[in-house]
This record gives sequence, structure tokens and C-alpha cells, in this order.
Amino acid sequence: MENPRVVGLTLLLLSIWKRLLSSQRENPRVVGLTLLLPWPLTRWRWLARPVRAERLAALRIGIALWLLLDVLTTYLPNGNLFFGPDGFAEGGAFDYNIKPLPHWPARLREVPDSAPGLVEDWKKPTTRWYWSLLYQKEHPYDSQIIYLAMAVWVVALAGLVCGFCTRLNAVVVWMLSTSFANINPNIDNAGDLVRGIILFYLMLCPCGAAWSVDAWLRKRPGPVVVSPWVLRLLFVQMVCIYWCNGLHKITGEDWQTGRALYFVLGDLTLARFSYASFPGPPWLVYELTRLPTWFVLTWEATLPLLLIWRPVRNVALVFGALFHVGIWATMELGFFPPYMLCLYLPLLPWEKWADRWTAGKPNA
Amino acid sequence: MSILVKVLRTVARLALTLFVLGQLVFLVSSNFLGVEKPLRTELKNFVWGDPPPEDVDTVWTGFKRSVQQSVKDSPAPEYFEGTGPIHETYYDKTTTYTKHWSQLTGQPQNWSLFAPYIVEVVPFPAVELRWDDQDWPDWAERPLPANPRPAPLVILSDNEPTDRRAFAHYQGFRFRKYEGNLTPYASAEDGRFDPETSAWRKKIRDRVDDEPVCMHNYLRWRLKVYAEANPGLPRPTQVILLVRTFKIPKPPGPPPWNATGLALGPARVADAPKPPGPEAWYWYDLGEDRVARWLPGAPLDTKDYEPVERYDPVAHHFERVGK
Repeated sequence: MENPRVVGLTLLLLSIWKRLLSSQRENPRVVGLTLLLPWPLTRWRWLARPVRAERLAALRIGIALWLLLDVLTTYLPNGNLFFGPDGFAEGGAFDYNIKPLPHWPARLREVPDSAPGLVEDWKKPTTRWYWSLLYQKEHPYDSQIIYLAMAVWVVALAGLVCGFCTRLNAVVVWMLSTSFANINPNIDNAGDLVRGIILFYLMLCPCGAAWSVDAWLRKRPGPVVVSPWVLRLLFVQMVCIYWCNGLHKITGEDWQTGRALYFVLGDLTLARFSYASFPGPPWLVYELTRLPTWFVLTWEATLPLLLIWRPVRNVALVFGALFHVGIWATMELGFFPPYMLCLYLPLLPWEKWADRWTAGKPNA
Repeated sequence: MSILVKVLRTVARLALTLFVLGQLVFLVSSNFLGVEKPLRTELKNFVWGDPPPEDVDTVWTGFKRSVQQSVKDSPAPEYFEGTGPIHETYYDKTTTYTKHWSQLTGQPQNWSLFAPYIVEVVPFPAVELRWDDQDWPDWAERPLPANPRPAPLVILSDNEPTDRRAFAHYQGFRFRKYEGNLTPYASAEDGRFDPETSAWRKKIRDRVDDEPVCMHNYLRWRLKVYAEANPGLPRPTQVILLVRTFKIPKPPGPPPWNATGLALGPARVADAPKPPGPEAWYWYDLGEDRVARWLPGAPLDTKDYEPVERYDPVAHHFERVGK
């Protein structure tokens, strides 16, 4: 510490640190960690002001219930076919997806030597960082292991719905969800990606702070609040999804000319009902699909602007939810619509409804 | 709260803050990178591309002409060519890092649902079972003739509607997704499709080269299901992956909807089982085409070859696919 510059810099950093801590006293009612934001950001209510934990709880219950239904109706009946031996993943069909990193240690004792190598791998554009607990080169695991993993998945999902050992179950659900997705990506669609993203955030936040067995066991008095960072990141994620879709659509001729929805509904592989069975002459049905085509294009491409002013924002978000209900009704895209609708769950005022319901009870 | 707990909690809060800020940067940058290239190309074509046709005179074409006039003596900056310091210093690195982070954490960000283009052809896979030695390869021993020898048959995908004018899809989207990776897409402007072209051969070649093992697994599964439902049948000598393609007609104009010029091309007139759309509205049936073949009794050496052969629609035979 002979260098006066180093001493000065250290003192400056310490004073900033002390000031930061003194301005960041945690609200005792907040469950979980709060952000340690620098000064101007502490004034930003959108990111700094805690929100009621019911919003996270609604997200947790919604995504877990839909995934439970997904597992029970699509994964479990076809577990061996999708992931097991003699199924779709046989013969190293997806070995290209999970390529071991050049410096990934074969044994634990090699970890220290491999750490710089992993940094090198990170910088190489050609390396792939997909992983799966259920991956085995060339030949998939036996059916027993696949079904055992699915049983664990179902139990963890039930725990997540009830909010029992919530954090642990959220970690297990995310790890298994990602593991299954990566050993056979050919059966997944965009809904499964959205599911994975939501689970990733749920694992990192106190999503069991309300409407859970965990909360009931802790018996915290009064309403519980949490830091809003998960809800904000998910909101940014949602906007990115729509906006990028909109920007891609702008460059497509079918969207510019209003023909897109006509072709989508005419796609025999995914249309819920036959285009030819729509009532009315084809030209009229076609004209009726042009308007929503342009509406969706405009809505997606201008969404960031629509979200600035609250009254317009609410209308835009209601339209977004209805858009997915419409997709659900007209296209067979599996669980894509419900997983996307889960992104809207934290935007609803669950705490108001919960308080009203509690106030209405006789012993409240 | 003890000092140690306070310090640990503060460190955890700091780590969480860095994570949240990092996630924000990740979301914005990775999504920007996903749309930057198509938008950059579109902008380049608008400003430095071909001028609009002279006989078209709208506000938009007028604006385009004036923009192109103002930059006519200056070439497109290197950024628009996808080169230069911005790309070399930031673009490639950011692409690599965001891609790796998205793979590690399971949050890929390339969002383009039904965009920018919509497919106008609808392919369904089908499986042909044969008990003969038609187009048998030189490298495999000829099978003994089955007695009795069943006639060749085609098993359709469960997702393909039996009546295209009246159906309801309510399940099986994961199978559809899997099948969608096996089928090449035909190009069929105005409902005309000629499979005896090098373009279609290339599409088959690309698709088989990309997914040979998935095709083999699919064929094996379809055969297994069929054999279980028909236990008395001998094992087929050939299991062939077909693609059955339908084309959505161009959108209708005002009534009467003019169908002139929308008949099937000469390559498929003889095969066409139904009059094509759109009078009354109907999909063009582009027919059934071979893609790949698996010989259950003559497995290929997996050290040197992929487990299925690919079809050459120009030479009309199957060929092995080397690894």
C-alpha cells in the first residue's frame, strides 16, 4: 500500500460501498434477496419497488400446472419412443446437439487444470454449451432411467404447484426440463423454449413466498413482498419475443401483402380445422384473414411504443393475450399458447383479488 | 444478524444485481443480433439496391428514388456489407458469448414465428413397405422371395388428414415437429412441380445428409408399429420414406375466382388423383416422392455409411450416403 494512488482509490471505493449500503437498507417485509442498485436506479420504481409475492406465485402455479399436463399427456406416454433405446434418439441422432467441450474435465480431479481451458472454449464460436443429465453418447439410457427421471419430474412439478420445498423443486424441474429438451430437440417448439426460460427464472427467485405450503409453514404475518426483478426480466423477455417477431415479419412479403394468415390457416399439418371448412366463400374468408394479419404485424412491430403509456399498454396486453387464445383455437401448436399466456400471469393484479377474497371471509 | 451473515448477504445481493444487469444486456444484445442482419440487408437493398420499376409511381417508390438519388455517388459503408471494425471487434464476439450463455442456461433467443416467410407447400412423410427386390443395390445380397409376397403398401402419417376438407387436429404436435424435420419442401409455383430436377435432388440430398439417423429411427418405429398391428406379415425387404406434398393455392381474388393457369404441370398430370384447386377451393396434390430407404435385412456398415440410402430423383435410384 505504498502507492498513494492505490490507497486513494481503495478509500474511495470503500466510501462508495458504505454509502451504497446505507442507502440500500432492506425492507424487512421483502422475502428473498433485493438488488443492490447504484443511486439513480434506486429511484427507478419499476426495478426497485417490491411487488406482492402473489404475482410470482401465480406464475409458479400456472407454468407448473401446464407443464405437469404436458408431461402427463405428451412426454410420459411416449417416453421410451422420444428419449429411450430403439426410439427417436437412438444411434446418436442428437449427438450433434450435445458435443462435449474440448476442455470439459473427464474426472473431478482435473477441474483445476481445465478451468483456463473452459474459458478458451467459451471464446470459440464453434463450441456448443448444451447439456443434459440424461445424455449418453450414441445410445440413450435404458427405459428405466428415462421413466425414473420422468417420475422425479412429475413429483417435483407437484411440489412446485403446491409450493412445498419450492426452491429445490424448481431447480429439479428446470434441470430435468432442460435435460429432456436437449436430448431430443426435434420434438420441441417455441413454447418449450418459453417454458425453459420461465423455469430458469423461477429457480432463482422466492416463488414460494405466497400461496404455498412453505409460506403456510412459516406463518409470516401480513402480506409478503418480493423484489420485482424476475417479473421485469420476464417482461423484457416477452417484449423481445414479440418485437423480434414483428421485425422479422416486416421484411416478409406475405406479411406486407396481408396473405400470411391465409397460408398459415391453409397449412394442413398444423391448422386446427380445415381451411376449406370455414363458412363463406373462399374470397371472403381470405379478406377476413387479411385484417388480423396486418393487425398482428403492426402490434408486434410497434409493441415497445405501445407499452409506454399505461392505458394503451393495457389494451395492447389484452390484445396479446387474445392473440394467443386465437392461435390456440385455430392452430394445433401444442402447449405454445398456454406457455406464452403464462407470461401474462404476473401482469394481473392477483394481490387485489386475494385481499378482496380474504376480506370477504367471515373471520378476516 | 452477525457480521458474517451481513457480508455474505451483501455479496449475494451484489451477485444478483450483476446477474440481473447481465441478463438485461444479454436479452437486448442477443435479440438485436437476431434481427440486425435481415434489417441491415433490407436497408442496404432499399438505399443502394435496384431502383423501383419506372412504371410504378407511389409515395413509397418516390421516397425510395429520392433516397437512392441522394447517395448514388457513394458506395454502401462497410458496415452494411457485414465487414469492418464493428463486425470484427464486437459482432462476432457478442454473437459467440450470447449464444453460449443461451445454450448453457436454456434460453435461446432467435424469435421468428411464421416469419419472415410462410411456407406455401405442406409436406407429410409417409412410409412405403415393399417385399420385393426392386432397385436392389449391388452391395447387398438379394433377399429370398417372400412366400406369400404381399403387395407394396403405403402407411400415412397419423397427422395427415384423411379428408382435407374436414378434419380437426387436437394432439400429436410433438410427432408433427419430429416429422417436419424429415421432409424436404418442394418448390411449386402455381401448383406445378417437376421432381426430375437437380433442385429437388439437392433438397433431398440436403435433408438426408442432415437427418439420416432420425430418418432411420422414424422408419424403424413406423415398421415396428405396423408389424405389431399385423403380426402375420413377413418382414419387408425395403422400407422407404416418402414425402406427400400439397400446395396451398395463391389467395383468391374477388368472385368468380379465376383458376386459369393453375393446372398441374406435365410431370404430374398422369398421377393427379384429384382436380386441383381452387375451383372449388382445394389444395394442389403434388404427389408422392421418394426420399430415403432402409433395407432391414441388409444393414449398411455404420462405420462408413449412414443407416439410410437417399433417393436420386433424376437418375431414379437410391444411393449410399458416406459419412
